[in-house]
Amino acid sequence: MAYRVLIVDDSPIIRKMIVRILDMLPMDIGACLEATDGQHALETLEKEWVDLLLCDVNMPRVSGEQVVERISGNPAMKDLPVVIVTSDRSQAREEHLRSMGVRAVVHKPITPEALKDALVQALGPQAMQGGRAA
Amino acid sequence: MNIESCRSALVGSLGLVLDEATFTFCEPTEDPPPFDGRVLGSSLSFSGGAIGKLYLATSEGTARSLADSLLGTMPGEASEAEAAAALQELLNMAAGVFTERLFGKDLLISLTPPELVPWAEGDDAEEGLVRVSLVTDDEQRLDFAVQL
Repeated sequence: MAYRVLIVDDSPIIRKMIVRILDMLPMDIGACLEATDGQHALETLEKEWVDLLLCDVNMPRVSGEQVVERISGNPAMKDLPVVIVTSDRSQAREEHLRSMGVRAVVHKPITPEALKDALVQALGPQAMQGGRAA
Repeated sequence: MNIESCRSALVGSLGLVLDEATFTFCEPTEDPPPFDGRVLGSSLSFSGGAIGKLYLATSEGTARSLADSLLGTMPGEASEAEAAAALQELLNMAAGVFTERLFGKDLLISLTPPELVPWAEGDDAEEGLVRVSLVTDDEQRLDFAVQL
């Protein structure tokens, strides 16, 4: 399966880093879509099919927490695997995000190993059986 | 808040982020060299269980080389915009580690997105700032400060 991934972060540096790490992983990536904040992510999700959402928390306009709330309340999107990639290390916020269906949380600075582990948690080990590094 | 704990958290958090994200090793110094060229500054605020503002500054040249490390590009390839974005993102990462080290994981703290700010040397005590300076292996200076 080729995954269509939506990367949501207001930092262009982080979006590029995530694309670069995904390229290194043994994962079959069909497309990397990018959104610059939560509002942009919600608009993209209305128009595009996405298999995996990688989402920051602290962003202008609409936060990652608000994106997760909107997804978890939408029957058409509630099963979308969501991985949070954030600088926020608050245990209470992480528990709240997980209670809304977030499958994994990765703390910045992101390492390829940490992102790989999070993707296995979110998608299962079969997700790492494709791609260039396989 | 104890000033020494603040200083220790500032040094430890920025050191960890520079090491893990950019493979840059740096050490604190009481006698920092001058910044090498134009200085870029960034700040963000935190609120919730604790309130304050964090600042990170370095020269534009150092910010560019940190951007190259973050992006995996060749030295000198990062643009001015990427240098500024790298500085802001490094501040964002360091802020998460700093607030965890100083206040623990149990306190709910929210960070604002980082923004670019003018950087000026001032009277830290008068402004309520706790500041540390770190230098990299090649003597490039980064200042990290908190205002509580």
